[in-house]
Amino acid sequence: MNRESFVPPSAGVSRQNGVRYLCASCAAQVSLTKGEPVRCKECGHRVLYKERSRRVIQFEAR
Amino acid sequence: MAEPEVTVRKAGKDNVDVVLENMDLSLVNSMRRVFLSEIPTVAIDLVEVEANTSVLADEFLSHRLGLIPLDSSLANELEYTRDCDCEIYCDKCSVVLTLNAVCNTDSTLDVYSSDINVAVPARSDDSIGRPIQSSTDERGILIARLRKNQELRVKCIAKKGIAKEHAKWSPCSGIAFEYDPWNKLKHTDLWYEVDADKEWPKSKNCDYEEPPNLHDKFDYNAVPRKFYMNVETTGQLKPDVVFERGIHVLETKLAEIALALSKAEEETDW
Repeated sequence: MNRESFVPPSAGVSRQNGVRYLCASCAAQVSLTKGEPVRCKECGHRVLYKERSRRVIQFEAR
Repeated sequence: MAEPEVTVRKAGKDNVDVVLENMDLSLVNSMRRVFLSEIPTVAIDLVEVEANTSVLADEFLSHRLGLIPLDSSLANELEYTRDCDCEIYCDKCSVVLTLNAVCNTDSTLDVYSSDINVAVPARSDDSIGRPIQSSTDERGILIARLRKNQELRVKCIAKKGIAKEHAKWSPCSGIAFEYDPWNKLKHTDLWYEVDADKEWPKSKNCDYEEPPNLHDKFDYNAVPRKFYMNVETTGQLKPDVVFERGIHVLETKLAEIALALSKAEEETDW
């Protein structure tokens, strides 16, 4: 991964339809925009997990 | 002064027990310190996580991977990344390792250090960076356990370094160091309830030295002359290589000081 190729995670959010989450109860995909209530659109469950980035993540092994 | 003497009492696969005689305490102690923290070895330093659906967090896993001992017998062929002219890492200053594991069965899958592969064996000898295994029939260090459908896809970049930067680069897991087991020089002040001699267990090394004679006067000029050292390695380097390279590192440091001093002498006119 190049230092120049780094895109801050917030950069792409506005163009897409919000941030993607997974419902903790029914595992349905939920996408939320700013100001929306945190709630699954399928089952109404209020616990959502943020999806993992599809980009490779680099860590220091220390 | 008499010539320095080295007696090897016991030598194993990854530890050696030696007695050093007619040497100075400062020299033997600097050897110990250099063995522990200044011999270059190879260890995983960067971890690129492509997929991790295991229960362990990326950071947790990266830290675990960093601590795995890797074969460093050829560490001297590698450049330090900071001295290398590449931008982040290249073949000259790093070894790339990959770890890919998916659990497809109902039972848990154990991922061991032996499942790590050296990705680019473009070197003359591919031993460099290989995870250490104490025997061929065992699988090494347990890194993670995967449940059905959990996956681990990781690229690790191993770099050369010394333990002054991070303990993962230390070739030694421990060094036992003792001198004057009878405490004749009174360098240690033993705590006691009634009688220190009865309450403190005797060191094994007491058998190698004369017990103190109670009628003797204390010798204020006595210095330690006999040192007992047990060097235990992590497997990254063999114990004899630790001695060899450690002494080399020490020699290089002393040479640098000598050079700097002679230069300073030239430049100043007293």
